[in-house]
Amino acid sequence: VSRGGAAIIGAAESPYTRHAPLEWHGQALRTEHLLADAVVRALEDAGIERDQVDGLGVCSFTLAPDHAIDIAWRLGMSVRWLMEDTSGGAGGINMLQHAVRAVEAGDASVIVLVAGDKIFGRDYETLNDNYNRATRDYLAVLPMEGPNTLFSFITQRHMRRYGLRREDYACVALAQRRWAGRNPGAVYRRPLTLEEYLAAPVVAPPLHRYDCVPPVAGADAIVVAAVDRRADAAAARVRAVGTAYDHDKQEGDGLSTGLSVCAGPTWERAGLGPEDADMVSIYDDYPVMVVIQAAELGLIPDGDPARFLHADLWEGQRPLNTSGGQLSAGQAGAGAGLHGVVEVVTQLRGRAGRRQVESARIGVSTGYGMVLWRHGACANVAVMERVN
Amino acid sequence: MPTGIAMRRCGSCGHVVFPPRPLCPRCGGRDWRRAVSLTGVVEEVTWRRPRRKRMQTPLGHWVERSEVQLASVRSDLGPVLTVLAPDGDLKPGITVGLESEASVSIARESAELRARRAGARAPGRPPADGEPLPGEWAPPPRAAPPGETEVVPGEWVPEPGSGAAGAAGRERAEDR
Repeated sequence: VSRGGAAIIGAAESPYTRHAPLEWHGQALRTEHLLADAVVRALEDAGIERDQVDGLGVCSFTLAPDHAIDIAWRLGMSVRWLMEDTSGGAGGINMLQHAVRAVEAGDASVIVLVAGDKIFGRDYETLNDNYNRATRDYLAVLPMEGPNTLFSFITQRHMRRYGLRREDYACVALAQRRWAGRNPGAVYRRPLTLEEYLAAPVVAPPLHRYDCVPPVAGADAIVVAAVDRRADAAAARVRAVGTAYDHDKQEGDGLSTGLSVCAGPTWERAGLGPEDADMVSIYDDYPVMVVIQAAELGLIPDGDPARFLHADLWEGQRPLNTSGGQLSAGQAGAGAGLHGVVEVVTQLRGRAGRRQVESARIGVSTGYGMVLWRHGACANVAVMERVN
Repeated sequence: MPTGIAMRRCGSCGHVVFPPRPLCPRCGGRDWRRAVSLTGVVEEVTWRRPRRKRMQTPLGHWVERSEVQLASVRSDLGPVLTVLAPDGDLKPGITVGLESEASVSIARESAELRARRAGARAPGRPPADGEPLPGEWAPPPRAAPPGETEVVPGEWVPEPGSGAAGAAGRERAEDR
């Protein structure tokens, strides 16, 4: 039983690839290979042997017909704590919420959480069209092709409410691409200009190419253990996790996420406030969602999103989505729900290389996802602190 | 006139939902009555390129187009729908007629609505004073007396005392 709380003592990403190789060590590449790779890397990062792991959590859209226990078996892990999560972009932090409690309660001592996917072409269409029953029955029959249409509507609403233009949202894509230039793991690293952003091919107006995430194959993993498990290495202590699911029953306008409910209490439990965050990973499936969640986290205290976008993100180079985010690093399906956590842990442990945020002590990551009908129904946030 | 989109009105509190679901999100009630939404107001529009241009759909007339218009429409009963705009002429703020074909929600600006918007006299009989406009929300009927509760066909309702078990396999396809 851990009285000092739980920490993330290792984090890693199986390299994202836009065009995944067909083979992996002589076998046809499948999601499980990416999950295995991320787990091996995270254990290496944590300095933990596989046999010391006694808990496993898995989140992926492409496991079927396998489940979490299949992954445990295929990775050769005997565990006493097991969970399978299905909440996509909110899956990583949802698993973290449970893993922290399991470690604190003594149900497990070392838990590996892994999320990732290999989704391309036909698989991507199938996933989008069968995301849930409401989508399958009423939305997939429209030529929607995934959630871009719904987020076009949300972006238009946001533009109307705050008087924003495409040039404003460009700050998210351009600033994150600038960070991606310093992250060798990002799939798009070449600087993006405002002209390129504005002239990019139309997807669903006002959304153009650089407002949408590039799907990649990849996986992310973290190792959760008692804070004092490895006193010799820096770790990311989990100060608080907050979640809010189905907060508006899909009857709101999509301009608020569950963070509007859970962010305040989470800061309170963490004993910290938004001004304490040295770096932030915000779930960035679309630029508009970065702005919405940043406001809900309390990062736009003056309520002026245009100022936040231009002065904070672009000119001020505020450390937000320092991996390049999904918009530049890529969206590895459910891996996106852990990508931001992996980046926070990497930063807090001082291992972010050329993109290292100097003396980063407090990091925050959000998760968002599961578009049930009009917008994401799941949102959560984790506040982490560097220890050791 | 458009044929409308069948929704569900909660028999307890009058809240309307679409798509149908077992429990009312507002009051938890579960005796649903049919409610048809005939019109809505366009809130946003966008355009998509169909993935497969020759895809066979219930609305064959748009498959040859390079782009299709989709819209977010706030229906007169409350629920917001994502709809196909086959005529491709919708704009935010206009009132449209709603219909459904093979579970595709469709919005068109009818000649009548267009004429009304233009301020011209709508063809046909003008609505009488006090007569609700088509699809306008009206207070829900009071709960029917025992024995006369209207249950929407196709909605699973547990038998008294049957509990949650036994639901499997009995739930039928939702009203499309």
